[in-house]
Amino acid sequence: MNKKVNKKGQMHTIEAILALMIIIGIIAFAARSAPQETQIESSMDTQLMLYGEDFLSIFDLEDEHHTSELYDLVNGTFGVFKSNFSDQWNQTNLTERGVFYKLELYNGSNLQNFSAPYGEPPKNAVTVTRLVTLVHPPPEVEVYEVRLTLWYI
Amino acid sequence: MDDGQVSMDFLMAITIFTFGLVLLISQVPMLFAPLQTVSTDIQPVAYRTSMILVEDGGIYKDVDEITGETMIRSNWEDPNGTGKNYSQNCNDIANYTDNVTRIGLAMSTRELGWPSSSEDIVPNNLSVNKINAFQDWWGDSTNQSKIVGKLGLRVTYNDNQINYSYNISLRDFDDTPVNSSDPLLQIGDSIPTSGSVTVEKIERIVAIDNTTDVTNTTSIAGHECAKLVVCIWR
Repeated sequence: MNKKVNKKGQMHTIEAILALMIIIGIIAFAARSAPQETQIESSMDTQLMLYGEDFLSIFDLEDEHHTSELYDLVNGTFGVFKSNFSDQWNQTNLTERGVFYKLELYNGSNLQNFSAPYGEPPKNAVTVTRLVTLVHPPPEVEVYEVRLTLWYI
Repeated sequence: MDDGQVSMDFLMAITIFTFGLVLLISQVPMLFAPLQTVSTDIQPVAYRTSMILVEDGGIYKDVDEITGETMIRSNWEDPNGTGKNYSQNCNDIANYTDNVTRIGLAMSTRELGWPSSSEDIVPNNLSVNKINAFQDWWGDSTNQSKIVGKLGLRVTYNDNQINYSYNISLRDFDDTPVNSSDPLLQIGDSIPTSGSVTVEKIERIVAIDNTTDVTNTTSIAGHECAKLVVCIWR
């Protein structure tokens, strides 16, 4: 029994596979090349960054004893902020406007989750940091990084 | 061997062409950026203006009458340290408003009353004296037009002068003005609400150093705080 092999069909299949690979490659390349964020997203990220930096800056305003609430937090004088961080954050009405936060403390080896009442941040969250230096009896100095991550919902 | 429907030459050519086209399109934002100054430059200007006001104390520049040396200070609201207000300084000091080369609202460490480890000014902590001087300056119709230059909002680009419009205010977190009946800081043009004008708004969280006679602020970490709202447009 003779079987007829359709050689044209094989060539069409190879063409189709090649064309498909080219199309997929171009789509993947275009998706990676496209701008990752719009102008509006850039403005929102800038505003989030400023909220975070301002908030940490106000918590770190120096008092006459040359410490601050942020210093006391890191130093463990109070274990928590003198005034609860979450309560202070809510004073700004930012949560009502859809801005949420997560606060962490990093000492160079361990990352301590300090306050995360709104869960884990999404990928497009903005993180601002502030260094706090604890001065113990010389020459002992400890540097901590306070990380405040903010995001819009 | 039979030919396919599409030649390899065509496939190669269309591949190279398409990659080139995609590469070109990906560069479009950079290609057109110089032609889109209005949409792309307002946000940085608003950001810079907020930085100048919140994180800088301002610059007052004059010449020492005895030594002839140029002196630069940040206490532009009271350069002689006499406790006088804006109007009195305008009357008593020659070229007072011209000597103010930049307006900043951050308080000086000299106002703290104790030796601070900060240098010269305290970012994010606004001086109520500077705020009052700024508000009074806006009310001075003779010198009001100078403010735009002191905030860095008058720039020259390709020999063309660009003037940005601005609206700057201090508001509590519920958006009511600080000192609602007599706003502590409310200056600038009316914000356009219609048309195709792009208005860029930046909010900064700030502390105010002395709130004895100030209402509508919120206590955060032991400091009386509010929002400095900066709106910029062209």
